[in-house]
Amino acid sequence: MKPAPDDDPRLSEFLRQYRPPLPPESPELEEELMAAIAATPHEMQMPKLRIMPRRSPLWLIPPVVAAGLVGTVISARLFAPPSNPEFANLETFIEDSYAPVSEQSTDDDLFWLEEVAWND
Amino acid sequence: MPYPVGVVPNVSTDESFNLDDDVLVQRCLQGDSQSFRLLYRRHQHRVKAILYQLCDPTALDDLVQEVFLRAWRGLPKFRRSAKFSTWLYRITWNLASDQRQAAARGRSQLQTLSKQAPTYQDAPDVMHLHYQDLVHRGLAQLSAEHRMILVLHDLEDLPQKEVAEILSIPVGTVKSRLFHARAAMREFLHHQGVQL
Repeated sequence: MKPAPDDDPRLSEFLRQYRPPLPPESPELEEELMAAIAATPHEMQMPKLRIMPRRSPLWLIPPVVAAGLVGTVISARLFAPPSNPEFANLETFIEDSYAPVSEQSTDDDLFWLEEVAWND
Repeated sequence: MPYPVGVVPNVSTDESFNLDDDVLVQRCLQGDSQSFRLLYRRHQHRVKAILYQLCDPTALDDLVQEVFLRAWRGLPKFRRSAKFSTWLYRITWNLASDQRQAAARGRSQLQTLSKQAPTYQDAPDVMHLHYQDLVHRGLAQLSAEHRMILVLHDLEDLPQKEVAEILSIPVGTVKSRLFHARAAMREFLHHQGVQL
């Protein structure tokens, strides 16, 4: 329901015209009040505590993202697989180191192993 | 421009009567109780009129005194963002609310002063008395919120914005309550044979 316009002049005028009269003022009231005031101090105003405004947890997002990026870069550097030339060098080194050993493997070696087994 | 306490004229002079409420409040905060006397004289009639419509009229003087005592004690907490009168009427409304709650539990202890019934010094005619009685009864049958709205806006002629500040409600709520309060009052008067 939409309220009517603000003014209702006939009713307002009627209320003002026939408002009940106030009781007569008590002549002592003002002096009584002043005496009461003289005995009443102002309420002490408590100093306002300086409360830090509560920060939204959203402020954590940028630092976390930045830290994540830095961590990703560092781990990529540390644990990245060797590049192709490094692989090739490593493979060559392994082959060179173990080729003589594998080529000298003969039946004598097996015989020696058998002897050892019999002795046990 | 604030006045130092020591150089402000006596409260009985015309100049001091023209001082702004804010100046008087500042002087009160500096301990000048005579400035509070001026504030009392300026606003006591309206405070009394509001309380008269909302509370037990037999305790009226005590309630008026209590309003101004609360104001005096609470002056340091008064923020200058609102008018002193608005803040004072807010205290009046709060006290009236407290008084209604206390009255619901039993008779208040505040009744010590005058118990004078309204007197009609001008010997008004019977119809005038009858209409006054109707207005009084019509207001009494309203809820406290609706009564307060009618008293502040229609009887005391305060603007809706100030009424909203006093009651700490939006202006739209003031308009709505005013509409319903008037409708209830019109209906009451209509049942009593008054045609407006």
